[in-house]
Amino acid sequence: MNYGTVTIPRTWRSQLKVALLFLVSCPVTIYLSQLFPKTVIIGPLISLFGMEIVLYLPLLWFIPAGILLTGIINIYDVRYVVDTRGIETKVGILGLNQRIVRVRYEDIRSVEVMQTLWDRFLDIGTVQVGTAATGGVEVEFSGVAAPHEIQRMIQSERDKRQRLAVLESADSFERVNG
Amino acid sequence: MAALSVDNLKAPFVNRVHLITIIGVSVAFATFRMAGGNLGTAPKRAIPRATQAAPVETEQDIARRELSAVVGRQPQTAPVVPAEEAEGGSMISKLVKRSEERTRPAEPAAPAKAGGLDEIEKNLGLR
Repeated sequence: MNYGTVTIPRTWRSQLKVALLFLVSCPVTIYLSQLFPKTVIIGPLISLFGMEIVLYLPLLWFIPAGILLTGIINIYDVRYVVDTRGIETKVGILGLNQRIVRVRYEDIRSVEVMQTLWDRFLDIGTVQVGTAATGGVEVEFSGVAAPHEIQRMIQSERDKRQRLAVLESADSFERVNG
Repeated sequence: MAALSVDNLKAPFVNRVHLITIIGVSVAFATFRMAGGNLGTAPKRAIPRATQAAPVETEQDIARRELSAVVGRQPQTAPVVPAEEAEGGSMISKLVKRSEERTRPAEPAAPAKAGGLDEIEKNLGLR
């Protein structure tokens, strides 16, 4: 367990459409599978000790399963970390290509929050962090809960680092000049 | 045993995201079962085995049976002559009749063919 590290996950509220579609497709799948029994395919899997293991597979079940899998991948494919030194995003954890972006607090120039009307009702949003290195957004926390609190947290840490940097430069100046 | 801490066990259920994922997977599994999905066992399908009452015929057996029906021979590796002699010559009479039936229509139509048949019959010992 890493102390001083906060992992911010994407919330299921950001996948509300997917979740609702999944909940609607489940009873529809059950009804259609009973209405059309031929959609349930039966096939032997393996043979063990003289017995055959048979699988009854409803083909229509792949629709809600695929929808749920889409939501799970959207949630667990990214990881947002805020620690004592900076912020980090890992995108593509479940994929073939992974992108890791790390930004120090001293390099952060702007922290913005993007929310639609629906996002405001659900208290979710996207936090965009800009740095001096690039003109645009360097790091993006999308689909997170309480985005304004995350914005305040990042800004307070950035301000703290900047004050410390100013104090350190003033101390070193005094030591040099006596 | 430290890995089996109660905190580690209850962590997925404390975190809201993981809890909703667990509920979603449970609902998907319930849908699978209610839609007719199942994993069952069944005895292996009985493979047809040859018995004394109902022997399984191979293609070779079928070909031998047809050949014996045409020529009038038993599907055995034993020589034809001794078997026919053992049955009292009935097979020989059948063969003779067949050879006579064959030769009658063949002679006027194609003398070359009849000549060919004659040679075959001679070779087979039908004449």
